[in-house]
Amino acid sequence: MAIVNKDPKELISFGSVKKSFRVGTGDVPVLKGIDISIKNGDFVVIIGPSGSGKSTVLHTLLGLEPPTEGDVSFLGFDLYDLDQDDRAEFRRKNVGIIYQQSYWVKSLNVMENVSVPLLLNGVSEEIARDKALESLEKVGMLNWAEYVPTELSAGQQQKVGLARALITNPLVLVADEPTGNLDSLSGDILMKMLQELNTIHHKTIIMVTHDLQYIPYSTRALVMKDGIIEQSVTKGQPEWKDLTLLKSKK
Amino acid sequence: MEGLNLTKIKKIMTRQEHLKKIIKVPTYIKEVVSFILNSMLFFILLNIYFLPIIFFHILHFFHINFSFVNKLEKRVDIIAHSIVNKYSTPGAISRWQLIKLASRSMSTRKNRTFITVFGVAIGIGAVVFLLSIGYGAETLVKNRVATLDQVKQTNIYTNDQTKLPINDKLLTGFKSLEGVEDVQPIASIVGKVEYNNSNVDVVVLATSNGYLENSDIKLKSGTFFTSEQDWSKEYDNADIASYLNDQKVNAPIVSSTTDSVNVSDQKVLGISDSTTAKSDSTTTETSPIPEEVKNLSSQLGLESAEVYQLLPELSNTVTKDVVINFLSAETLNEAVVSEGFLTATGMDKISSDPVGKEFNVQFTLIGGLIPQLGTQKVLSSQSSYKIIGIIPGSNPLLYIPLQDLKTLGIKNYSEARIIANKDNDIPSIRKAIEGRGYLTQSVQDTLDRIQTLFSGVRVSLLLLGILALSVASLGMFNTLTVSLLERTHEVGLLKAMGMKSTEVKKVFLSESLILGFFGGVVGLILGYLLGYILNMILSFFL
Repeated sequence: MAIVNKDPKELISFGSVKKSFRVGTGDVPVLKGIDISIKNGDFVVIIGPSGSGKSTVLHTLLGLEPPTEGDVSFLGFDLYDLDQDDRAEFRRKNVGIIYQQSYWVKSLNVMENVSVPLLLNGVSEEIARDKALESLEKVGMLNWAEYVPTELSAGQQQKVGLARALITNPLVLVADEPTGNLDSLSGDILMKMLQELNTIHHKTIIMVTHDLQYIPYSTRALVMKDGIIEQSVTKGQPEWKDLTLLKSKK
Repeated sequence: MEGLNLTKIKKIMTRQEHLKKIIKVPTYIKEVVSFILNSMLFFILLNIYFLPIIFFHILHFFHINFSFVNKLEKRVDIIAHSIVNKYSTPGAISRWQLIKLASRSMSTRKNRTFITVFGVAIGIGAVVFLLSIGYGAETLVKNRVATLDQVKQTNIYTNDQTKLPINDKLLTGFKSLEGVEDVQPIASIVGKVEYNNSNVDVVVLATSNGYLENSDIKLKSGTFFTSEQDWSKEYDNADIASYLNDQKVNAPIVSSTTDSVNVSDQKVLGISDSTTAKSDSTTTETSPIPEEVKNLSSQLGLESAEVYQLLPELSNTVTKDVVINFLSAETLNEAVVSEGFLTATGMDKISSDPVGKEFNVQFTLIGGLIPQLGTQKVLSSQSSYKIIGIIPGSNPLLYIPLQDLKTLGIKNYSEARIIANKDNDIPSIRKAIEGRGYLTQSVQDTLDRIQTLFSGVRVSLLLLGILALSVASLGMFNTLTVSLLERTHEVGLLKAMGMKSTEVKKVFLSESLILGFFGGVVGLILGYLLGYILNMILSFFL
């Protein structure tokens, strides 16, 4: 594991990452040279139209999709120097994930589903249960602990998903279009929660969305188009205002 | 620094390659072996997981909720937890949770799980049931053919009483063979029974004590021989001795049709019969084949049997009206008779319980039993016998004590039965006997044939069972495939949350093992119950 970390505050870095998928006989380039540096405490939103490569960036970052070219480092580790199982272990120790569509272990109830990440880390059942209840309380879903997740509304499911992502107290929270299936009210509630996590608990959050209206909750926005990062704007920069105004144009 | 490490690593790698070349263990074998070992371990852990749960479920079902039961449950739970989790890697999901995850996801799809388990159970039940039919039928047939005692027995025969006689000397020798428990001779002759002015010829079997007891003959009424008898005791019967002596003195030496035959040996017993006067036979004490036949066979270059075929008059027998008296002080005069005997003599019509009834009988003695008689037959004096036991069977049979016949001067027996200590001793005993030229017959020959027959039957039944089992396993395969496809998202989720591929494999392996485990258990019970029911039905009708 080569140590390439220079900036101690740097958490994740992409060094000219390229990724292409083989479709039929030809290669389809999806990422055409991406450089990203995410620091501890950032709330990064990756936005862009469908097919721009946002989700591929996220999967590459999670260690699920090896790049064709370039380096991905996470906490100073070259992620793809590790084998698949080590990446899995790395992921479950450091990353919490929320998906657009919440997936559940259907045979388990809300509380048990939330405790799964801890159980995967070898934590005993009793401790995992207590932590799960604690985590559910944080997102205000304690009363639904005994329900089966699929019985809940989409907004409630995302809250439970957030509780599950937070239970291991991960360094980084990764969200893949978490508001995609929600109405605007539920979306706002979730985004406020994420913002709180970032500002109060200093969680690093990386969120992919195509919804510009959620940019104001973040601290930085990466605009992707056709496999490259077109624009990288930090909160407070003059372009920030333009970006947040884009939503009214749309 | 890095360069140095690289060369080191390379060195180690080439060494390992070299080692791999020397020890050629294909990786797939290693994988298969480790897979089997892992599955076995998993199976044991699965037992530890499920058995206490099932046990306490049953207790709770019957409302057995004493405080000590609850305490015990907690203790057992802790112990089971620690055993099952002993083999899980720290920092990763515990095996207990893996099994729990698997069993939970199965319990949410109850119908499918139940049907799959039932399919496996039918497959395994079919194998168990069919195999038990095979074994059961074999045991049934074997028990019909032979009792346990009979398996330890072998019968000795001879096809040449003159050359290879079955006599006391031989049997005493056999009795000292290793593994031999007892030797029981039997002499079979013809008897003329006289009862209520009717005469019937019956087969008479003279046996020692214990012979009837060791056969699978059941008494209908009365008893077997009760009086002590010693078959190996020698009796001198003056009648037979003087008769044989008379024959020796009076006998003119008879030449056969071929004049060139020289018979000059003093030992030759030439026996001529004036009343029939058409046949001559000679016997020597030392050689069982008559000198005449011997000479003829050497001249013509034929076997003695072929000489007999050419000149049948040489083997013709002569009946003499000489009566040999019993040594009445030594005879027991007890008789065990068959039902057929009672019908033949008409005794059954006269008395409803013929035990205790008496009848007269006269025996015909032949050369096979008294060597010096050669091909002649002599009659015994008529003697009265008392029926002490009746056995089933429609053939007219009369069993008398061997001692009675021995007082008439018989030296040889028709056959003998050898009883071994263990049935395993029989083959070696038979080998020893056959090595001396005697023939043996044992119920084990039949049993061996039955076993060969049934092993064929078993294989075909097993194939049928395996067919059922393979259909069941295809069903199980199908269930697991569907379950896997259905849970692609779930697997993806678990992997994204950091579950390793091996752990995912373990979850599905647990599911298949649980299915197989319960299928196996239910199948065993099913097969056993079916076998039990069939057994009950059969024992009702057979």
